[in-house]
Amino acid sequence: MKFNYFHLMPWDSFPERVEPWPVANAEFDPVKATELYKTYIDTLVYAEECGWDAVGCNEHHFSPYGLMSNCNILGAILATRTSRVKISMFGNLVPLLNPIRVAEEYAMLDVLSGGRLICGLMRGIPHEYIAYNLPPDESVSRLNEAAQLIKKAWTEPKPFGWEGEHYQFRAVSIWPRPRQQPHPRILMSGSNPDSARNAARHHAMLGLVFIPSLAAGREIIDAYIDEARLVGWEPTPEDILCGFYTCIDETDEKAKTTLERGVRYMMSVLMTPQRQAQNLVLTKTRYFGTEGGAENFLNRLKVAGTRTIDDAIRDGTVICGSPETAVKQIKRIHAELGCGWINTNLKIGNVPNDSVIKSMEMFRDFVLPEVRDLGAVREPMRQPVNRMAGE
Amino acid sequence: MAAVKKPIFKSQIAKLKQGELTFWVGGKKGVDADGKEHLPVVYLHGAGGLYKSATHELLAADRRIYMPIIPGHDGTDYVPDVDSMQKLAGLIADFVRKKLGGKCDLWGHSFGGWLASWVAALHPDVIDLLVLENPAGYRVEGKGGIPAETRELFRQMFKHPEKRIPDDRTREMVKANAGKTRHYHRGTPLDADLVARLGDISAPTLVAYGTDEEMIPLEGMRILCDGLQRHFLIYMYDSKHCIHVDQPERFSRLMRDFFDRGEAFIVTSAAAE
Repeated sequence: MKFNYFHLMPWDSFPERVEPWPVANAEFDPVKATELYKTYIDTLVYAEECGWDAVGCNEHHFSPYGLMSNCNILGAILATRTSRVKISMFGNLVPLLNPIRVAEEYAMLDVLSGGRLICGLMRGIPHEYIAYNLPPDESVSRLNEAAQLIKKAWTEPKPFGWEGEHYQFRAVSIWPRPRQQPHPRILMSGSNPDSARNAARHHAMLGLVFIPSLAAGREIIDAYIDEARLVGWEPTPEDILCGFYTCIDETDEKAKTTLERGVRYMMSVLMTPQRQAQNLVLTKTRYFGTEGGAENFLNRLKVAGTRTIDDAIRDGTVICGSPETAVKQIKRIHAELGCGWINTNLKIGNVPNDSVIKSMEMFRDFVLPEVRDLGAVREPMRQPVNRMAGE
Repeated sequence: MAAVKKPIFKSQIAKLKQGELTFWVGGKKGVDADGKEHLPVVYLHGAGGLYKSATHELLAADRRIYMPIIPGHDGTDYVPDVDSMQKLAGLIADFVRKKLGGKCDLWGHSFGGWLASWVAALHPDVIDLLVLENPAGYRVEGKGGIPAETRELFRQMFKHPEKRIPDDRTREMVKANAGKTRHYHRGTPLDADLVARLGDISAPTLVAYGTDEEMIPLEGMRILCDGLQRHFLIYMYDSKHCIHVDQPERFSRLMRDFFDRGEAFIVTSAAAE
């Protein structure tokens, strides 16, 4: 089993009041932010020392939810301050960006890191489309076209042009090209079976977070595996990354108390402003082209917001407790989902940074040794769901 | 009552020294920013004969388009003694000299792209700019080729078959086209003689390749591009073998830009103004 250390880089001292999105930045304190970035970067670097296999962050805009408007800048720092871990950019919100720029920056990161990059090509969450003034209706078609163009930019040895629906470039030849050949591993999010199937069609790793239950996660993974087989490739556990809030302390109670506080702050303060903007996008556009897509998305957030830590522990959707409990939870996740990667997110809302460090050290000393070899004996992925009778 | 759409193209016959050549012609004579008349565009069709698409119609808005029927196709007879790619290229070059004043922009699709390459290599004087759309003749390592089974052939031809416009040919006429191009190329997948002559092509060349193309391998396009003096390889997103059917708006816009501004087409028109 491999572990990714994800950092959302939240502004963790925003006042507890309801603000509309985009959130006014009058209360942003750049001096404090300098310290915060330093703490967060040091934490990510420390994760390598603690045994994590990959470290990284993602991209969000216009709110204290995450201070990461361009994760590649942080990626460059991580690439030079670490030596072993993968640099996981989860990722660039591709439909909002110039895909050639994404290809170039990712190639730079791959070269800088000596070939350690995992590239997230993400669609983003709905309200980000307001931030960069792009039509949410086009999010999927932009993502699909941009992903193909980025791969072409990475792999084409001679200058080329691209005449697409959303992107036209008449002369492309990026310098540098990626170090990993033919190109770095790509990760795409799969928060529902449709997007999981899309990730499979792109031959990308599947990344899923905020699953309401392990059974729901399994359904998404099954859709991914089936689609991959349909288009002619066989996923391995290492193609599947599942994300969980993570908090480890001496006792279950201590861990629960810490995580509960952080999640409450996250849901009631950091996530509240964007909820309204998200609703606007989801009700006034066809961000989700499929019937019920918007309802599913809102439901998922609602469940995540109202569920208690005890509920989440019972459902297996957090890693929270003493080291012994965390080991059991990770083993359960592995057994039920068959994933080869777990994405841990320890800095939830305003969880104190020293609690985060404590969690990391307990993970290093007591959890990792017990779960490192999970899946070391490669077992075949489960048989196709849609296998025809008699085959 | 719905208005009947007036056909854009009409059929004519050119009498050349080698024999008769049937061609279709249509479109408006446009002018460039300096008032100079656009060169005519000659389109060379693929092995399936001449299928007129929305791309032809869109380009015809400000271009005269000439579309010779490759002898032997669409109910025409072979021209005596024109039995190789080189001789066929000579026939097309003579057509340009006799009917179009000696110069054109040349666009070829599939087999027509193969032929257009030969015309450009052997008769550079008749071509200003060259467009090769998924050109045949560059199939390597046994990859690609025309599927024998009709349904598979159809699947590989079109990503968006719904964009086809009504064909003015009979099914029998289309069916009879099968295998007629062998009269000229003898079934060679990779035309080594042509590859050796690619360096003689002086016309700036736009190579359009569908991102979902299966009949013509990408490796072949690399051989082609490596041999050309000045080329622009453009990937046509969401297209299979018949880009002119799958993406008429994009493809006609791209070609118009290329024909209007030559190598400067890589600069966006807004920036160039």
